[in-house]
Amino acid sequence: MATPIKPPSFPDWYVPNCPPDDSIEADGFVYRFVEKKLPDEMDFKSYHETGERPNGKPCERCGLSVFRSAEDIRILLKHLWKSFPAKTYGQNIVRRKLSDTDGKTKQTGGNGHHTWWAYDGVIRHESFEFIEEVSKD
Amino acid sequence: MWELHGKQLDPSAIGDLKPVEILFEFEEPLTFVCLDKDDQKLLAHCLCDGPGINRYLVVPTDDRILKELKTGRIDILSAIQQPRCWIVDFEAGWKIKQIHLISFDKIPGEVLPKPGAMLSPDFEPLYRTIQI
Repeated sequence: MATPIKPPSFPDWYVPNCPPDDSIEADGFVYRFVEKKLPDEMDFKSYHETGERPNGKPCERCGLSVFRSAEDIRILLKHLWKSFPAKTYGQNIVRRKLSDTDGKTKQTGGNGHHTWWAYDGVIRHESFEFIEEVSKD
Repeated sequence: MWELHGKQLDPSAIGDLKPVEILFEFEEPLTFVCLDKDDQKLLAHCLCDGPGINRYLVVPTDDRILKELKTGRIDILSAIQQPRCWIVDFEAGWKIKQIHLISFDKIPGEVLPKPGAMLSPDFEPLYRTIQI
Protein backbone atom coordinates (compact mmCIF):
# COMPACT_ATOMS: atom_id res chain seq x y z
CA MET A 1 0.00 0.00 0.00
CA ALA A 2 1.44 3.41 -0.99
CA THR A 3 2.40 5.77 1.79
CA PRO A 4 0.30 8.93 1.54
CA ILE A 5 2.36 12.03 0.81
CA LYS A 6 2.09 14.54 3.59
CA PRO A 7 1.29 18.01 2.23
CA PRO A 8 3.81 20.74 3.08
CA SER A 9 3.11 22.70 6.20
CA PHE A 10 4.48 25.70 8.01
CA PRO A 11 6.50 25.53 11.22
CA ASP A 12 4.42 24.94 14.32
CA TRP A 13 5.86 28.09 15.94
CA TYR A 14 4.08 30.31 13.42
CA VAL A 15 1.44 32.59 14.91
CA PRO A 16 -2.19 31.65 14.16
CA ASN A 17 -3.61 32.39 10.70
CA CYS A 18 -0.17 32.80 9.21
CA PRO A 19 0.63 33.14 6.37
CA PRO A 20 -2.42 35.14 5.35
CA ASP A 21 -5.04 33.62 3.03
CA ASP A 22 -4.14 36.06 0.25
CA SER A 23 -0.50 34.96 0.12
CA ILE A 24 0.43 33.10 -3.05
CA GLU A 25 2.65 30.15 -3.89
CA ALA A 26 6.30 31.14 -4.00
CA ASP A 27 7.53 31.65 -7.54
CA GLY A 28 10.33 33.43 -9.39
CA PHE A 29 13.43 35.23 -8.26
CA VAL A 30 13.56 36.92 -4.88
CA TYR A 31 16.29 39.18 -3.61
CA ARG A 32 17.32 39.81 -0.02
CA PHE A 33 19.94 41.94 1.70
CA VAL A 34 22.17 40.22 4.24
CA GLU A 35 25.32 40.81 6.28
CA LYS A 36 27.54 38.28 4.53
CA LYS A 37 28.35 37.67 0.86
CA LEU A 38 27.91 33.96 1.48
CA PRO A 39 24.79 33.90 3.62
CA ASP A 40 24.28 31.25 6.21
CA GLU A 41 21.45 30.03 8.38
CA MET A 42 21.66 33.08 10.66
CA ASP A 43 20.97 35.45 7.76
CA PHE A 44 17.70 33.62 7.23
CA LYS A 45 16.32 33.43 10.73
CA SER A 46 12.97 35.15 11.13
CA TYR A 47 12.51 37.89 13.71
CA HIS A 48 10.11 35.61 15.54
CA GLU A 49 13.03 33.24 16.02
CA THR A 50 15.60 35.90 16.94
CA GLY A 51 13.36 38.18 19.02
CA GLU A 52 14.25 41.24 16.97
CA ARG A 53 11.77 43.83 15.70
CA PRO A 54 9.48 43.18 18.68
CA ASN A 55 6.82 45.55 17.38
CA GLY A 56 6.73 44.32 13.84
CA LYS A 57 3.55 42.62 12.57
CA PRO A 58 3.42 39.15 14.22
CA CYS A 59 2.82 37.16 11.03
CA GLU A 60 5.41 39.06 9.03
CA ARG A 61 7.91 38.43 11.83
CA CYS A 62 7.50 34.70 11.11
CA GLY A 63 8.59 35.22 7.50
CA LEU A 64 11.56 36.77 5.77
CA SER A 65 11.79 40.10 3.96
CA VAL A 66 12.50 39.68 0.25
CA PHE A 67 12.22 41.85 -2.83
CA ARG A 68 11.51 41.30 -6.50
CA SER A 69 14.44 43.34 -7.80
CA ALA A 70 17.92 44.39 -6.74
CA GLU A 71 17.04 48.00 -7.60
CA ASP A 72 14.27 48.00 -5.01
CA ILE A 73 16.85 46.99 -2.41
CA ARG A 74 19.39 49.60 -3.54
CA ILE A 75 16.84 52.38 -3.21
CA LEU A 76 15.59 51.19 0.16
CA LEU A 77 19.04 50.60 1.66
CA LYS A 78 20.25 54.09 0.72
CA HIS A 79 17.17 55.48 2.42
CA LEU A 80 17.49 53.33 5.55
CA TRP A 81 21.17 54.14 5.99
CA LYS A 82 20.48 57.88 5.79
CA SER A 83 17.36 57.88 7.93
CA PHE A 84 18.37 55.31 10.56
CA PRO A 85 22.19 55.32 10.55
CA ALA A 86 22.53 53.48 13.85
CA LYS A 87 20.37 50.52 12.78
CA THR A 88 22.03 47.60 11.05
CA TYR A 89 20.99 46.70 7.52
CA GLY A 90 23.23 44.32 5.58
CA GLN A 91 24.74 45.63 2.37
CA ASN A 92 25.02 42.42 0.38
CA ILE A 93 22.28 41.49 -2.07
CA VAL A 94 21.66 37.80 -2.67
CA ARG A 95 19.20 36.08 -4.98
CA ARG A 96 17.37 32.79 -5.34
CA LYS A 97 14.65 31.36 -7.53
CA LEU A 98 11.73 30.10 -5.48
CA SER A 99 9.10 27.52 -6.43
CA ASP A 100 5.83 26.37 -4.97
CA THR A 101 7.64 23.83 -2.80
CA ASP A 102 9.38 26.68 -0.95
CA GLY A 103 6.32 28.21 0.67
CA LYS A 104 4.28 31.34 0.08
CA THR A 105 4.88 35.04 -0.52
CA LYS A 106 2.96 38.29 -0.42
CA GLN A 107 3.76 41.95 -1.02
CA THR A 108 3.67 43.39 2.48
CA GLY A 109 5.09 46.89 2.06
CA GLY A 110 6.04 49.63 -0.35
CA ASN A 111 9.15 49.76 -2.49
CA GLY A 112 8.78 46.14 -3.60
CA HIS A 113 8.91 44.68 -0.09
CA HIS A 114 7.53 41.13 0.10
CA THR A 115 7.44 38.52 2.83
CA TRP A 116 8.41 34.89 2.17
CA TRP A 117 6.99 32.27 4.53
CA ALA A 118 9.00 29.12 4.04
CA TYR A 119 7.52 25.65 4.53
CA ASP A 120 8.82 23.60 7.41
CA GLY A 121 11.90 21.71 6.27
CA VAL A 122 12.93 24.23 3.60
CA ILE A 123 16.60 25.13 4.01
CA ARG A 124 16.04 28.83 3.66
CA HIS A 125 19.59 30.04 2.96
CA GLU A 126 20.33 27.32 0.44
CA SER A 127 20.85 28.32 -3.21
CA PHE A 128 21.02 32.05 -2.57
CA GLU A 129 23.77 33.51 -4.74
CA PHE A 130 25.66 36.75 -4.15
CA ILE A 131 24.68 39.50 -6.58
CA GLU A 132 26.32 42.71 -5.39
CA GLU A 133 27.46 44.76 -2.44
CA VAL A 134 25.64 48.08 -2.17
CA SER A 135 27.96 50.96 -1.44
CA LYS A 136 27.14 53.12 1.57
CA ASP A 137 28.60 56.19 -0.13
CA MET B 1 22.84 51.52 22.61
CA TRP B 2 24.29 54.67 24.14
CA GLU B 3 23.91 55.34 27.84
CA LEU B 4 21.06 57.69 28.54
CA HIS B 5 21.47 60.84 30.55
CA GLY B 6 18.92 63.52 31.27
CA LYS B 7 15.96 63.31 33.57
CA GLN B 8 14.37 59.88 33.80
CA LEU B 9 10.59 60.01 33.98
CA ASP B 10 7.92 57.57 35.03
CA PRO B 11 7.10 55.34 32.02
CA SER B 12 3.53 56.61 32.01
CA ALA B 13 4.54 60.26 32.32
CA ILE B 14 3.63 61.48 28.85
CA GLY B 15 1.19 58.88 27.54
CA ASP B 16 1.16 55.34 26.17
CA LEU B 17 2.83 56.56 22.95
CA LYS B 18 1.43 53.79 20.78
CA PRO B 19 1.38 54.60 17.06
CA VAL B 20 -1.82 56.30 15.88
CA GLU B 21 -0.47 57.03 12.40
CA ILE B 22 2.50 55.22 10.87
CA LEU B 23 4.46 57.51 8.57
CA PHE B 24 7.19 55.09 7.53
CA GLU B 25 7.71 51.44 8.29
CA PHE B 26 10.06 48.69 7.22
CA GLU B 27 9.56 45.47 9.15
CA GLU B 28 8.33 47.67 12.03
CA PRO B 29 7.01 51.20 12.48
CA LEU B 30 10.08 53.46 12.27
CA THR B 31 8.51 56.91 12.12
CA PHE B 32 5.05 57.50 13.48
CA VAL B 33 2.63 59.86 15.18
CA CYS B 34 1.48 59.17 18.72
CA LEU B 35 -0.41 61.17 21.32
CA ASP B 36 0.41 62.55 24.73
CA LYS B 37 -1.94 62.46 27.71
CA ASP B 38 -3.73 65.56 26.42
CA ASP B 39 -4.19 64.01 22.95
CA GLN B 40 -1.59 66.37 21.49
CA LYS B 41 0.46 64.98 18.63
CA LEU B 42 3.97 63.71 19.09
CA LEU B 43 6.38 62.52 16.41
CA ALA B 44 8.44 59.39 17.09
CA HIS B 45 11.50 58.39 15.07
CA CYS B 46 13.53 55.24 15.63
CA LEU B 47 17.17 55.89 16.51
CA CYS B 48 18.57 52.46 17.28
CA ASP B 49 17.79 49.09 18.78
CA GLY B 50 19.14 46.58 21.26
CA PRO B 51 18.08 43.13 22.46
CA GLY B 52 14.29 43.28 22.65
CA ILE B 53 14.34 47.10 22.74
CA ASN B 54 13.75 49.84 20.20
CA ARG B 55 14.87 53.35 21.10
CA TYR B 56 12.92 56.28 19.69
CA LEU B 57 13.23 60.04 19.78
CA VAL B 58 9.82 61.52 20.60
CA VAL B 59 9.10 65.23 20.10
CA PRO B 60 6.08 67.51 20.11
CA THR B 61 4.77 68.19 16.64
CA ASP B 62 1.84 69.76 14.85
CA ASP B 63 -0.20 69.38 11.68
CA ARG B 64 1.94 71.89 9.75
CA ILE B 65 5.16 70.01 10.44
CA LEU B 66 3.53 66.67 9.68
CA LYS B 67 2.13 67.95 6.39
CA GLU B 68 5.52 69.26 5.30
CA LEU B 69 7.19 66.00 6.32
CA LYS B 70 4.62 63.84 4.55
CA THR B 71 4.76 65.88 1.36
CA GLY B 72 8.54 65.87 1.23
CA ARG B 73 9.00 69.60 1.86
CA ILE B 74 11.17 69.09 4.93
CA ASP B 75 13.61 66.39 5.92
CA ILE B 76 13.27 64.20 9.00
CA LEU B 77 15.91 66.13 10.94
CA SER B 78 13.98 69.38 10.54
CA ALA B 79 10.84 67.72 11.88
CA ILE B 80 12.45 66.15 14.93
CA GLN B 81 14.85 68.92 15.98
CA GLN B 82 12.70 70.41 18.71
CA PRO B 83 13.69 72.18 21.93
CA ARG B 84 12.07 69.55 24.10
CA CYS B 85 12.37 65.86 23.43
CA TRP B 86 12.24 62.47 25.02
CA ILE B 87 14.16 59.28 24.43
CA VAL B 88 11.82 56.32 24.81
CA ASP B 89 12.82 52.66 24.98
CA PHE B 90 10.00 50.38 23.86
CA GLU B 91 9.68 46.67 24.43
CA ALA B 92 7.28 44.31 22.63
CA GLY B 93 3.67 45.48 22.59
CA TRP B 94 4.89 49.11 22.77
CA LYS B 95 5.50 48.69 26.46
CA ILE B 96 7.61 51.61 27.65
CA LYS B 97 10.68 50.43 29.47
CA GLN B 98 12.12 53.87 30.18
CA ILE B 99 11.76 57.53 29.21
CA HIS B 100 14.34 60.25 29.55
CA LEU B 101 13.74 63.97 29.04
CA ILE B 102 16.70 65.26 27.10
CA SER B 103 17.86 68.28 25.16
CA PHE B 104 18.38 67.67 21.47
CA ASP B 105 22.04 68.64 21.56
CA LYS B 106 22.76 65.77 23.96
CA ILE B 107 21.75 63.13 21.40
CA PRO B 108 24.80 61.52 19.74
CA GLY B 109 25.04 62.76 16.18
CA GLU B 110 25.69 59.30 14.80
CA VAL B 111 22.19 58.08 15.70
CA LEU B 112 20.33 60.97 14.12
CA PRO B 113 19.07 60.95 10.54
CA LYS B 114 21.43 62.61 8.08
CA PRO B 115 20.55 66.07 6.76
CA GLY B 116 18.44 65.58 3.66
CA ALA B 117 17.06 62.21 4.75
CA MET B 118 13.40 62.37 3.83
CA LEU B 119 10.43 60.48 5.21
CA SER B 120 10.13 58.29 2.13
CA PRO B 121 12.69 57.02 -0.40
CA ASP B 122 10.33 58.43 -3.02
CA PHE B 123 11.16 61.98 -1.93
CA GLU B 124 14.23 63.96 -2.86
CA PRO B 125 15.40 66.87 -0.71
CA LEU B 126 14.26 70.25 -2.08
CA TYR B 127 17.64 71.85 -1.54
CA ARG B 128 20.83 71.01 -3.35
CA THR B 129 24.38 72.06 -2.69
CA ILE B 130 26.43 73.01 -5.69
CA GLN B 131 30.20 72.81 -5.51
CA ILE B 132 31.86 75.48 -7.58
